[in-house]
Parts: sequence; structure tokens; C-alpha cells
Amino acid sequence: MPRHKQKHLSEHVLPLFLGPQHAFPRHRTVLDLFHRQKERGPDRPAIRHRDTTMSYADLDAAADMTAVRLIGNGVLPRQLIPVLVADGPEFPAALFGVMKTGSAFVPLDPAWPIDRLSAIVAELSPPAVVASPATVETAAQLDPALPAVIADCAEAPYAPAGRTSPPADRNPKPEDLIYGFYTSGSTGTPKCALNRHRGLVNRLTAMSRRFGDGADHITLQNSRSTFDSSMWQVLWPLVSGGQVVLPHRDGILDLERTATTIGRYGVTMTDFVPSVLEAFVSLLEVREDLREATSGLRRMLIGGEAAGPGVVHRLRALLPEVEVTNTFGPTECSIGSVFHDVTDADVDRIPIGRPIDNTAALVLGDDLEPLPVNTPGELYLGGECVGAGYLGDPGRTARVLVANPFPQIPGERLYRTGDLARFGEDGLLYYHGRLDEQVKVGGVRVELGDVASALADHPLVGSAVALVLGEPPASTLVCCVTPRSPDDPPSAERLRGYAAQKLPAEQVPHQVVVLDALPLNHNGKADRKALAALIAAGTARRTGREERVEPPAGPMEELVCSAWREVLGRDRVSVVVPFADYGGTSLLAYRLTAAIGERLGRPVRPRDLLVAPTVREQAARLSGGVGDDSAELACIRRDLAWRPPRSLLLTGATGFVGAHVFAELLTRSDAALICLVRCRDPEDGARRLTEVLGRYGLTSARQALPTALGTGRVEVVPGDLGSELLGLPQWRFDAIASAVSGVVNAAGAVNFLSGYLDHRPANVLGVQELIKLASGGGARLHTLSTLSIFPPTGPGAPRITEDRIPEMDQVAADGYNRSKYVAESLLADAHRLGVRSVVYRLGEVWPHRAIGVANPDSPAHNLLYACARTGCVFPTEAETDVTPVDVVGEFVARAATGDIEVPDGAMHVLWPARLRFAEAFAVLAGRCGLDRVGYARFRERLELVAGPEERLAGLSLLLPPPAAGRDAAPAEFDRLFTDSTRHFDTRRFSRHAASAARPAADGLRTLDRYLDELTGIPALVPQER
Amino acid sequence: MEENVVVVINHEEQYSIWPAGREIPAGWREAGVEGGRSECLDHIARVWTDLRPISVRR
Repeated sequence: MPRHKQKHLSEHVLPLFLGPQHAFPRHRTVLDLFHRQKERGPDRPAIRHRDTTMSYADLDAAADMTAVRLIGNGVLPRQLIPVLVADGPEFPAALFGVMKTGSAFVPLDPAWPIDRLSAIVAELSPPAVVASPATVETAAQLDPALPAVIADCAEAPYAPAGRTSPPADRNPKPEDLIYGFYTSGSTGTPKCALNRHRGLVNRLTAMSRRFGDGADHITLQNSRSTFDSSMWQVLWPLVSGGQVVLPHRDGILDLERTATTIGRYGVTMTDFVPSVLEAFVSLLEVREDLREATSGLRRMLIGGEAAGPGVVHRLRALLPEVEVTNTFGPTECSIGSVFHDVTDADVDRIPIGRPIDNTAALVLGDDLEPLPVNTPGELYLGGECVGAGYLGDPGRTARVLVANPFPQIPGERLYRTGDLARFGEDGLLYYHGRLDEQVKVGGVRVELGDVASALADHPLVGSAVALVLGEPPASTLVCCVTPRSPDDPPSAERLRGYAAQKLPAEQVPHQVVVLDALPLNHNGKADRKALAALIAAGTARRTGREERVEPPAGPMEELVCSAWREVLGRDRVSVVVPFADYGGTSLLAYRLTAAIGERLGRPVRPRDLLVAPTVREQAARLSGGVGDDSAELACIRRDLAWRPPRSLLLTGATGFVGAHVFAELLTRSDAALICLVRCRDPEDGARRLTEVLGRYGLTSARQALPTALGTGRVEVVPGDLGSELLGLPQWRFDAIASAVSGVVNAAGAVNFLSGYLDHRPANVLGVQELIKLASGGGARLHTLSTLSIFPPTGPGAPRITEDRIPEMDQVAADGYNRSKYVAESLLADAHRLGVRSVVYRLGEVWPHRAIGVANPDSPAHNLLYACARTGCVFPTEAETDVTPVDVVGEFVARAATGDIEVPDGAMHVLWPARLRFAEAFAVLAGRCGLDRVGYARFRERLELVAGPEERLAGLSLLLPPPAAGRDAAPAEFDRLFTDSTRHFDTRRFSRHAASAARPAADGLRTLDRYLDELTGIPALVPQER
Repeated sequence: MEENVVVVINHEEQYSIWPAGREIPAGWREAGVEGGRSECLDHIARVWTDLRPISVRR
């Protein structure tokens, strides 16, 4: 067998694994690209920070000065230079400064413990470090001591005379290293992952190809400088002519400030870790001013940990202009190389997507064999993104950078991610977790061994185990320790302080638990599952500290306490124990801000809470300057606002009116909803609901649905209205009957061409079953009906009042109206026996005023649609009433949840607005140039085009023949439509709907959006001109 | 039991490990060491002192 026979990827998997191939500037460096932007527009703004703006020329001058000083301090090409600069304009100046020496930079956080910084600097052994005016003192504490070169943006650009540039031969080459980032290491020592210019150039130019030029964006650096996601946020704008906003930070996670920064600078693009995004979205949901401030955002990259669909779709609902891109990739591979632009279709999961330009993502089995779709395996990354391994660690480098056996995948080495993933049928990658112990907390890679070994070094600690509890975004890092000697247990609080001195902030355990002994599994290793269960159950005996629960004193402490209990998910909290001891993270502190603000009825600033760690101190701060009465009044308001939980059964949610009622209930109430849907199983039903909400443009509801299904607020029950017990087993029927306080029956068969018996199962037998359900459990029935159960009345007849119901011999002639008449009669009879019910008689229901998507079953819509399709309009006297479906949906939903009080009985849900079809025809003819023809000609054209289109065919069957010698439609045609406002009294409805929106001045204005939609429909018939 | 691997090296003098007995990918050759995984990684750690590709070491 030949030793070099190569493995060929089959034509099935190759397109799956390989990203798009595009030429990119492979012979340029990130520095070259920046220089080109500086040449193109030296005076364009590059950096915004507080009140200052730096141009490309300013930044280049500051970088030049830094480079010259570094070279003066002995920096040679191809070294690794620590950049000890907090966020601010000095950061990019330092990065480009180091690049200009031909070396690579390594960002270090000045807030890290000095011992850690010293250990890292010792490993890098550079001739000098870069500091900023703010970090010189930290740099001076480093051991070994090193010269610190100051990147100073305040002095740079204004002394052109003394300006020198570093020699051009120092410019790095594309295959040179650009940077190293320290990440947590499983052995207890952090490791430095190295990347090359070419990998970054590919990633940054791929972003421009995908998202448009950086010049079109204002980007916010939202990741701290020691996380590699900050690299795209800082470098991408600067290599593509854009601006980067560098926020002012003081170490406190202040999302309100993030939002106002976005507003102040007009930020259009940034990056969030999903768990922080969760808190950010919660904040925007309660603060309209901050939604306003962030409304300029156009693209949000998310990454760093698995993103749940809930928060992503909530964001999209809040800020509909924002496109969200899920990004995946390790620090070892040029920031990341797998992207997915989130769409409405990502209902259950957010995929990680596809490899970006000139990269590959491979799912391989244990034997490095390619795995087919839907089979999870280890994810390998290849192509231009692959970095250079770990500084000074050839063993680890050789383990993760493996020889690439596939000649069709470019590059000699593949990066082995240690992640489990699969390709779906859709060709997208889905993430399935880690293969090893590596975990992420708040998007930051944390090696549990690293955390445990830091604590195990403490003289009073015997052994230590670190673990993560809960799922993001609420996950917390916990370390359990045993005392070295039972007589001398360490205090949990002291241990946290000890850990804080040895570890970066994001790796300090949120909670330290001291146990007598660690539970062990059968291998003799600490049993993490048992530990998690112990801690979750709160039964871990904490020998370090007496757990005495100090109860709240006074209403403000009670208020703050109740917010703590909600946010921490605990039954009791002591008012003197710090938030962090209960596992409170900065993200939870964020939710606490919202929870307290909500209770107090006024916004609370996060820093008010963060500086006061206990309930007692927070209550004292919040009481300061505010009469203590405010807390008690807030408590009273809250108690008064309590409403019994509502649960509704909804039928017909997949119909036109039903979908609008469902959307209204979902987005504007907190009622639990059981949806009876004709479907195979609940998943199929959920799909149908999603599809229908999408079809009618009910975007907010569609985006809220996955979360509501996930939390169980919305439950889909497969059933059939026309079958006995709604097609459910008896127990299910009974359970629903006793659970729901109301039933909204929006279901029904409608076919104007078929008879009573066709309509009977859904419209009559279904109502019988619902009456049974309501009489068993006491639920109130809300049923949609129609004004047309009454036969047409002549001119001059009195208006029909809402308390009337037709006599048997007066009923309209068609099957649909007859079935609705029977249903109403049954409901009226049942009412006499104690079943409470409301009937909503609808007239002509038109599209949502703001959305304009029509009901495909409406003859009035189909007539207008037919005009657009046939390219002509005709004279007619026909007229109709106009009630938009959003009015119906809101009224029915609010009545069903008790938000509006409505009496039992029938109600005419009818707006006092009217449309003459001739007016609508004139608008259509004007907007899209339709021919004006006679009725007969219209009818001919309709017959010509109707064939394959069911609704046109249906309409053409309804159309009466033309009257001889007459251009206008015959009277018989005009009678197909009625303006019900002439014939029906709406006193009850008007009284109870007073709080609903007022009607627009006329029917035509109400339908403006809809008519606009119609003008987009192409005519099928060549127009006569 | 640890699987046997061989130490491989490419023209840039970068090292990696490869399952023993399988075809070696193009661009790579055996470095003459075969053994347990950790044994081979230890060997690499001893001999691979400069992680930079030879083309940029100069």
C-alpha cells in the first residue's frame, strides 16, 4: 500500500466542509491594510473615545511614536511584546505600534493579579512592555522589572517636526505572528495562543465581504481587550475605513451605560456574549428610552458560548432593524471562522452556521473519517484561519494542530477544537458541547482544574473541586473545598479573597463551599453530579461560617429581599450576607437592578446596588433621600396589581382572525394558552403556528413563540374541533376543562360555495363540545360569529340590535351562515343553563392596519386582488364596512383575559367606517395604472386568468352575469357586498371598546397599507394601452 | 490502552502526531519515532524548540 495515498472527501461532504473560496489580500498584513486606509483618508475619524475623536493620521502618528520608542528600547522583529493597556485609544495605538516594530503583541489586563502578570512577562521575556499613562504604575510593579514604553495618544500628533517613523523594513510579513492571547489552561497555567497576520487579514476581509465595508459602520468595542473578540471590533473598522468607539470602563458591568454609549456615538455594530445579551435585552424590554438609544444598531455579532434562541429572538423583536450573526471559533483560529446570520427559521436552535471564506469546518470521527449529516463528531477547523499553536508548548501544539489528510482542504494543519458538532440537513453546523471538561462562564473559557488548583494551594485547604452550576446565562462557578485539618476550617469568604489574588476576575469562584468531605464516585474521583445536587439542595454543611438568616427589618428591606429571592431563586436570604456569597454574579446583579426597580416603581442604577453588597446596605442606600413610605406604597401597588393567573383554550389560532387574536394574547397578555390545532403532534402544531404568524407578518408574536413554547406558557394540543371531545382522550378533555378560565373559539369552516352539512362538524358540533367543556369547568366561552346570520334588510328597516337573534325562518340562505346561526342559538340556550358566553359578530374583516396582509378567504379582498391580477377595474356601486383585524384581535383578546369587562351575549364588532369599492378601484388604478373597463370585460379577463388560482376561480363562480347594455356591474353584483354599518346597531360594542383604538376617518385611509401591498401584485393580463 | 502514534514533521519543520499504521498526509513525513501518545508528545516537546515555521525563522 502506498504510504502517501491521500484521503479524498466525497462529493457529498466536501461542499459541506468547505467554505466559499474568495481571493483575499494574502500578501498583505493587517498593518498594510491600516496604512492603506490612512493614505486614502488621513483626516477621516478612526477612533471615538469620550469627547475626543482621533483621525487615521493621528492614530498612525501615535503608533509610529510607540514603535520608535519600542525599537529604542531594544525590541527586535518577531518578538512577543506585552501590551499592558486598559481599554481606550492607547489600545489600538499600542497594537499598531507593536506591529510596526515587526513584532507581535500580547494584550494583558492591568487588573490581573500582579503575580500572574509577572509570571506571564517572565515567560515572554520581552525587552520592554507597552503601557499607557494610566497603567505605568502597574507596569512598574512587574517582577522582573522591564522598561515600559508609554503609548500616549494625548501628545502624539501635534509635533510633526520631531516625528520619526519606524524603518519600513520592520514591516511584518503575512506569515509573521500578529498576536498572542492568554487563555485558561487545564494544567493550572495559562497558555498563550498565537495567530498570524494572514489569518486575521482573511477574517477581516471576509467580514467586509459579508457585512459591507467597515466605512458604513460605527463599531463599538464591547469586549475587553484581553478577549480576542475585541480584535475584530478594533481592527476591522480600522482596516476598512470605519470608526471604532472605545468605551470608558471602570470595571463595573454597566449595561445602561453601554446602551447610552451606543446612542451617543450612533453605534451600528457590536458584539455581545449571549449571557450578557440576555441581561441587556431584559434591560431594553423595560426601558423605552434605552430602546430608543440603541435603535441605530444594525448588526450584532454574538459568540463565546452557545446562544439560546429565546434571547436572540427577543432582541430581534425589540430592535427589528438589527441583524444578528452567531459567530463561532476558538482563540487559536483567528478569532473565529464559522458564522451564521440568524433568521426567523431558527426557531428551536441557533446554528453556528458555515465556515467563512477560505476556511473549512470538518466533522470527523475517531478515525478521522468524515461523518455524514446529522452525525455528531469532533469539529476540526482548517484553511486560512488556523493559528500557530501555543507559545513554548510544542506538546500541546502538536496535539491540537494535526496533519491535514485531506488534499481538497487547503492548509497543512487542521485545528482540533475539542468541540462536538454536527452538520444538519440544511448544511449548517450545530454545536453539541465539549468533549472535555472545559467550561465557559459568561462566555469566558474557564478550566476547572485551574480554579481548583489555585484554591488547593491555600494552607488551610485539603482538596478542592471546581464546578459550574446551572445553564447560561445563570450559570455560576462554584468551588468546593475540604479543610486540611478538621479543627481549623478556612472561611469561605477568606478563600474567595485568596482566589481573587491568584486568578483573573472571571475565574474567581462566585461561591466557595467548605465541606467536611467531598462525595466520591466509584472511580474515587470527586463526584461533580453529587456535589451539584448537594449545593442545589442547599444541604451542603458549611463549616466555614454559621448560616444564620437575619430576617428583613422594615418594608424597604423586605422589598429588596423579595427581589433577591426572585433573582437568586432561593426561599430565604439573610439581609447581612453579601450577594456574591449566594452565588450572585454581575449578571444576576443586573437582573436584581431590574427586579428592585420594578418593585419600587422607579429605575435603580446598578452602581447603587453594586457598591452595597448586602440587603441591609442596599435598602439603606435606596431609602436615602426617599421617604421610607415609598417602599410601602410600592408594596401596596404590587399587591393591588395581583391578578389570578389566567389560562385560555384557543381554537382556530391558525386562521386569519384567530392568528391575530393569538398574537395579541401572546404579546400583550401573560395568559397561559392552550392551542387546539389540527396537527400530527405538538411539534407539527408549533410549526404550523409559526408558519401562520409569519404569513400574516405577526413578527413579534412569531419571535416570542419559541420561548413561550419552551416555558410551557403556550401548549399545543393536537385535536379536532369537529370530533367528539375535540378529538382528545376523556382525561385530557377534563383536565383542560378544569384548568382554563376561558375559551376563545376562533375556529370554523368557511366555504361560501358549500352547504350546511359541510360546515356542521366544526361550526356546530365543535361548539357543542366546547359548551360541554365550559359547563364542566366553569370557563367562559368567547365565540367568533358573523353579522350575516341575519338576512339582508331593505332600506329604511330599523338597525338590528345586539340582543337580537334571527328566527329560524329568517335565516340567511347559505350553509356557512346557517351553521353560525345554529351555533349562536346553542350558545344562547346554554347561557340560560348557566354557561357564560360572549359572541363576537364580525362584519368584513380587513387586513391589519400596520401590516396589510389579507385574508385569502375574504371575497372582498379577492375582488380587489382580482383587479390587480386582471389589470383592470370597472364601475360599481358596491360598498362594504371596514373593520381591521387588529381591532378585532385586540378587542377579543382583552375581553377574554378580563382586561376589558364585557357582558355576556352578542356584540357587533363593527367599526363605523365604510369603503365604496369604486374608491378603492380608483386608488389601485392610479397607483398601478390599471385599465378602466366594463364589468363584462373584467369578468371575461377573470375567467381567462382564474384557472390555476383557486381563489380567483372561487370568485369567478360568485360573479353574476353582466346586465345587457350596461358598463357598470349589475345590481346583483353590488348585493354580494353590504355596508353593515347601515343595518346594525353597535351600542354595546362601542361602549365596551371605548378603550380600544379609535377608527380612522374613513375606510380608504384604514386600508392604505393594504392597498399598497396590492399594488405590488403583477397583472397576468396584458393591459390594453 | 493508549493508541500508538508516530511523530510526523512537515517541510516547515513543524511537528505533529499521526495514528501509527495509517497513510501519512501529503506534505508530512515520519520523524522516526513511534510509541504511545504521551511518549511521542514528550519527544516533540524536547526536539521542537522553535515553534515558528522555518520560512520565518531565517
